[in-house]
Amino acid sequence: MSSSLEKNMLILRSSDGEEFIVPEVVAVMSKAIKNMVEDECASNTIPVPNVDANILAMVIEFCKKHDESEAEAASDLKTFDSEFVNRGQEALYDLITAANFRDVKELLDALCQNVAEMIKGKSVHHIRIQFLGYQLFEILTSNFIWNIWCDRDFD
Amino acid sequence: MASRRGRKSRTLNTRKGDKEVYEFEDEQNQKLGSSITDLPRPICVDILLRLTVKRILICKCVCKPWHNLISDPEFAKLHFAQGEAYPLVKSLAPTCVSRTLYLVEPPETNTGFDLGYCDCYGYLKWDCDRHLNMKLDTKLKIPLHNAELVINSEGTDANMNHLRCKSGVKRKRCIKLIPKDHKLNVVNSCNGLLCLSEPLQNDPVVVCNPITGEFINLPVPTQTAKHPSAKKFSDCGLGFSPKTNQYKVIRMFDQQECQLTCEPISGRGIYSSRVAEIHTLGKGSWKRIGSAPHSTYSYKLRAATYLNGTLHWFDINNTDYIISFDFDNDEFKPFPPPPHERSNVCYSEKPNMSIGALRGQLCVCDSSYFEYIELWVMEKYGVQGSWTKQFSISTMTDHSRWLRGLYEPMSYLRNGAILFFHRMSNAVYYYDPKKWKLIFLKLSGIKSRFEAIAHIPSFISLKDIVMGDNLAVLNIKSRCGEFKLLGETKALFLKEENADTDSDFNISSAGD
Repeated sequence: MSSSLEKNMLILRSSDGEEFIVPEVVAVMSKAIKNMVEDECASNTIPVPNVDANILAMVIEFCKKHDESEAEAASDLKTFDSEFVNRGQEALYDLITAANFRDVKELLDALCQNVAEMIKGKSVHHIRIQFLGYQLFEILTSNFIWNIWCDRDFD
Repeated sequence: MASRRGRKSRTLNTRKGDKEVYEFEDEQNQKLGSSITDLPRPICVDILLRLTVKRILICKCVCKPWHNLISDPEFAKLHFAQGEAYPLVKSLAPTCVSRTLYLVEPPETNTGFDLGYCDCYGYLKWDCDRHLNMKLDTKLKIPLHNAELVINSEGTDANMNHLRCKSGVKRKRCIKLIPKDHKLNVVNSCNGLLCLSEPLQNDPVVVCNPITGEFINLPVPTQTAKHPSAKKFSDCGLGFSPKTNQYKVIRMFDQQECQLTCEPISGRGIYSSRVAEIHTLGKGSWKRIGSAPHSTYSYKLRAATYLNGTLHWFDINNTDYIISFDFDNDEFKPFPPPPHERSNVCYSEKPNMSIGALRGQLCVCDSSYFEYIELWVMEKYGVQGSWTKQFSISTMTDHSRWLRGLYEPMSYLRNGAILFFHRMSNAVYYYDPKKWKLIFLKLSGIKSRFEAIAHIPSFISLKDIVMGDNLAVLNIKSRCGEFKLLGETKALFLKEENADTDSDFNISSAGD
């Protein structure tokens, strides 16, 4: 790629209307945006529907770090990744959805790994509390038989 | 989904002001938000595929969407495609019920069994957490030989079934069984399925997937070895024919009279009574396919290894010690062994050699040398010239002893380490070629000798791969899976030990 293109900036607009100015090299880490840029169907401002400003800021932060740190040590990047993905479930869910929708492979990979780490070493009961939260009550009452079947197998 | 939950949470807190509700929501973000289990299917698959078999089985019980996802044949295929072989360990103690198999997976927090450098090396302090001490809790069950007996005994004395303890808690009575009724041998593993044989004559009787608990009873053979001079055992194995997409079981046995036949490996005409029969899963009965490889000595074929539509055995009886059976064409074939430096592998050395498959390549592990074991790998399947000596591993312990005996190659882990099973010392050896490090992982907790085979765990249902008109796929969960049998409550551990301090090494090697 030519250096002039690298300096190009793109404007991303989140679902709630906030605008972010990001370098093109960072924005094209999302395959979906990359396709739009390559097909030249994008004007200066690219709308990012389904992703609100909060989440979009996080995604951009992640992409920037990964772009800058191409020369950086892999171990540093790993620490950044593990700290970055260490969030509450709501944020994780939104981030995963955004990463999936915008097709940001590195982010999706880091997030999925984080969720897997959350599951490791936990029992059925603990995973339910962690992921299903208050839904647990619902499950316990409406699917009573289902639960008996499960507990029999693994407790 | 998210909005539905959000609304519900607000209705739960109607007495609070709106502002308060939002604050509450922020605080309880984790509990009120969208659940990870609601993520799109491909992402859930991505997450689940990063977990161990045990954890996937647990996740299967977390919620209905995940249960459906994990039961899906598509998931099973993806899981198997990226699957690794692990040792599947079984106790040989006559007092233990032999239906429990232990899958030896690396600890979830680690890629291998090496927990890192430790300065107490050589002394193994008890409180040091750098040494592995792992409970083998991926327990898989195979069917009992005589399940009817357990089911019936449970039926007849149903009143005796539950004993009341002092505390009033119901406790299940342990059912006593003699080995004849529970014991089944594990013959080999092929694409996540196990072939099980009855221990007396080693005739194949069951094919099962220990992960899903499903099994099929094989048809009773019409002909069995009856001749007094005949060998008392059959050789058998399970294989898959990629051409016809069918699973087949082969059995070799001695029939009543000797016939002049053409020996399938050497092609010479000989008098032999050993014949081979084949059964295609889901299709009728046993089919005679001609004579089986003949041998003058009577040793069982060992280490049945399935690879590339072909089953390989280690045959002590022959000079070319690997024989193979091609399931596509239903024929025996000779197989070129690795070019050892010794001109001829002499008979007494063969008990210390074994074959196996590592990452889809056939390998021979030769531990007949005094101080090291050699691992030969056939890089291009079926090409003799491609045999290469990949590793030569010193078996010297810290106290300058050498551990001899048969090393069975089990798995080539993703981090580049190799697992061997050493029957003599009841241990799994973890060898990391990058660090030149050999770790001795002893099976402890149950006092017994063990055997192990390499097995790639698979969630693929037998119902999806075996087609048949009147095929009964049974499940151990519905057939005495719950009954507690004597000796099944003990836990098995994998513990890093110093090979020298191993107490029962001498006892077990004397009995070998």
